[in-house]
Amino acid sequence: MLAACLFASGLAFADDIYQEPQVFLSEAFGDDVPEPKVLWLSDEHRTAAAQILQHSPHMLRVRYWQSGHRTAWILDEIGKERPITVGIVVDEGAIDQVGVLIYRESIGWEVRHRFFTQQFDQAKLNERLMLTKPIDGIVGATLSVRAVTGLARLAVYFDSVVDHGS
Amino acid sequence: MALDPNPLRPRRAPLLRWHRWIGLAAALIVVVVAVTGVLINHVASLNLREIYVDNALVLDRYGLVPEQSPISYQSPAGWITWLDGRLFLNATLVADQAGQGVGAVSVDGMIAAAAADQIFLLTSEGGLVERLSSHALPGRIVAIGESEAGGVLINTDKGRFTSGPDLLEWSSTITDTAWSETAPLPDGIYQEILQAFRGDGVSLDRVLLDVHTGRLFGAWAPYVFDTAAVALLFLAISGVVNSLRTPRRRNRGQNGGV
Repeated sequence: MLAACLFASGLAFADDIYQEPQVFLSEAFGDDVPEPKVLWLSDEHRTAAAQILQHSPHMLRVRYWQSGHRTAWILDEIGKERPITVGIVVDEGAIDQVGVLIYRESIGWEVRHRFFTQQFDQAKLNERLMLTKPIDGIVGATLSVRAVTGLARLAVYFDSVVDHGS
Repeated sequence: MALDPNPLRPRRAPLLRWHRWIGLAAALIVVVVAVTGVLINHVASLNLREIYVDNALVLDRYGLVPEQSPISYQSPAGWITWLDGRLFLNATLVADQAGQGVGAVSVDGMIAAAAADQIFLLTSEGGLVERLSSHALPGRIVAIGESEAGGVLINTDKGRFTSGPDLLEWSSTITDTAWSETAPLPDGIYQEILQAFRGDGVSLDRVLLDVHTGRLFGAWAPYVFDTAAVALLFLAISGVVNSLRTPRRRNRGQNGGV
């Protein structure tokens, strides 16, 4: 049974931590990491998230970090069986950085490499909630690619609904 | 030199003995395969897909019997229970891969249910508000309690920390509190959780198919069933050979037989 549980992050098995989330946030915001905020998901948000992820989000709120028009999101999504923790920085509505922080699956770890994640740089969302740039897959890592791509789309969508104060 | 009254017997005997013993050895499996095969052929007409098996031994073979004892905590919203890595509010499944519980407390009208490396923030109806992963926590949690300020206090491998009711920020503290403790789960709720854990059980047609192939009995069992199939082939061949070699009744009569 595949438990499609969004934002799950049980650590019962060995995890490959490629970058500590705090380090990721420091890289995103420098020494002045803002305090976390939460985005409560309305029905509209949940509908859009379900369209992006192909399953309903199982949570009612998402935390994020914001400094002006720059937001950072640390999100989890199951690739095949275990959650992948991905950090996404969105700046002015476009992806500035995608990084695989913690990988727990046994295969498909190639998605952590920069050659894959750099494809997301400067990608935005169109009206169909699709990325404006094509993302090439990786043979043997289809589900991980799908998970990371879904989270990248989700982060850009969430960024578009938070209050940027302008 | 005396003539052998039945010169075929010495050559036929070993094959007959093998035929007999292999037939006996394969008989049980052949009966199982035959009976389940007939039933599988009539799954639809016998409505076997609508019949569910809830026998504990069978469910155990499908991993539908919990391996661990439940760990439960009482909260204003009901019983918070961890069972084999699944988190329940009363009998409602809240989350999978939930680790092993260390406590649950009420916070700002919600419930904070803590495992060692994550906290589940739940509504009183069992809705998952947020799952705080290890990266959102200051350390591995060993106990959780309510703080005087209406937030949460956790005892971790890196010391004690407190948070407001939103659980967004953690600050170090030396404050003590009444830590959440396990409580015996009422049997009625446990039975409901077990029901939720295993669902309806396993349909009878699925069990029959797995008995037919041997998969129900373990990873090695299909090879035993394969061996039985090979034995059946041998029985067929040896049966034909023996039949061809056996003198006809008329001939035996001519040789003085009945």
